[in-house]
Amino acid sequence: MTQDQTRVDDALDNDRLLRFVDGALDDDQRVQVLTALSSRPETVARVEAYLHQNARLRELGQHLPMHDSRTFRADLQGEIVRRLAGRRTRVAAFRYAAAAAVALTVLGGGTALTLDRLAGSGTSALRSSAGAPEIYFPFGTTQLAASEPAGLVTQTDAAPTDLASVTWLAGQVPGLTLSAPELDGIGLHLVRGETLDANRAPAIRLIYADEVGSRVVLYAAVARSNADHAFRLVPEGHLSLQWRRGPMIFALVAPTDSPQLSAIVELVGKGVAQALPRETAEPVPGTVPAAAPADGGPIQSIAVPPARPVPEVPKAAPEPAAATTATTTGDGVITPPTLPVATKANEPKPL
Amino acid sequence: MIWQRGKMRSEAASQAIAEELVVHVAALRRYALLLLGDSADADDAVQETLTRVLARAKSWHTIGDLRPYLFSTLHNVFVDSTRREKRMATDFLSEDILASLVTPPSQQQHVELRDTVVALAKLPNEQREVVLLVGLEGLSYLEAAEALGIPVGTVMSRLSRGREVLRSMTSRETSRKLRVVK
Repeated sequence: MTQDQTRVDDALDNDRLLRFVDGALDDDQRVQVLTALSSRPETVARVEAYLHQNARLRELGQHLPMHDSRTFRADLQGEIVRRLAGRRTRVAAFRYAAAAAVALTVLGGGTALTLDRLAGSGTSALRSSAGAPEIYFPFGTTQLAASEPAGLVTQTDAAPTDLASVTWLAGQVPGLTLSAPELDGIGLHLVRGETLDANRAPAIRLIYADEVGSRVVLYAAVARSNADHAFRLVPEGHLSLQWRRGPMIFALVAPTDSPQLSAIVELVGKGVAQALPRETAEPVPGTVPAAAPADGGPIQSIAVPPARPVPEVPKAAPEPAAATTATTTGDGVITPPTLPVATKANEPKPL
Repeated sequence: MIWQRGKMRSEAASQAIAEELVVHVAALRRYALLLLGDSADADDAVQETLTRVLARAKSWHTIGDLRPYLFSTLHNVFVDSTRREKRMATDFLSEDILASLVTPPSQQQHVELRDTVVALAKLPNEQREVVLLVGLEGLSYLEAAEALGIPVGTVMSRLSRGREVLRSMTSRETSRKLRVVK
């Protein structure tokens, strides 16, 4: 065996050929292999075949059917919820679900909203996080209740009539029956419902999503005082529709380009009209008469932030001193001014 | 205070991993589909993988490189399922993939992809895993070794054998087709 042959054999040993094919050689080694290949046509055919295999595999990866990620997500959520139910300790379950929630919500993508508690601290607000995913249960908060795995229920499992939050809200007003509006007819599926604050103005939010993950959020609350109510709103590119009906106040947050917006308002309005005890003219104890005409709840105001912040839900008692200008906290959350108690003069006109 | 700062760092790191995890989901699903040959089985395997990883959130700080870790977990899921169901290589249902392949621009490309899927289906599991991890997912030999829990040398020998089998099968297919055309 000549010295040249030995050099060629060394350059074309099996491991080196594989590394050549997979781009794991440095430039000098690649030159050595290419030089050696020039005298070995049979090895050239082998290398070409391997390179072709790699190219085909990468191409195959691009043509695999990876659609239907919605079903995948829903199944994954269901699996996690099942596992969650089997966890022994509450702490472990919380950590597990929190991690899962972050991952899943990032996975879900879609409209980005981050919500501080609606009637909680003075800086609570809906904040815009353009392009960022919604984080339902961020690490380090107590928002996730171990007894409420429904926060992770799959879309197919979310039965509107079974939503405990809706039942709870209805229970705040004697004689009131409420159910989550069914928007399946316009392509919106109920994802989940949440109770926002049990200690102040009772409120809930219902989150709907369409096929592409775009979200529409409906807020509902029971009015406890005579103050003018409004929900703090909204991320850029979103619209808030607010209205009041009997003892209930509502807000709808949706993307401004949502094609179903008017249909949603109509359906919600109809549902609410059916739910409220219209014949009982007497105001519910602890609540105030409707500020809007009792014809199904016309829209009282439209808020498009961040230029025009709207006031938050007032605290139950006592009312803080009214601020006249919006303030901004260190983390960029805009705290709108508190409006005085509604009067005939300053009440917004129906559209 | 120090404990709180450490906790915050840990939470931030966990959240970062949770977000990075999502980036790899598509790759996991793709790999699992070609490994298992059935989309439902593949999704089950990936879900089980993610569930296991999420369940170990407490020890995420020990993870060096997430990608091999995820593929390693998926490998374990795959091994468990084959052990449980006694799945053989012949159980590989490439029809599921073939039927739903997104049609590439040319018919020839489509035929070649079909041939690749069929050839992959005939590979032993160990070789298919290595060929897919390196060829499809672009893992380095070291990462593939880490994912499969085997030495780098074993990765390379399996890869070499797998590629040679694939080459012989696809070249036979090609010559058979040429004869048919003739």
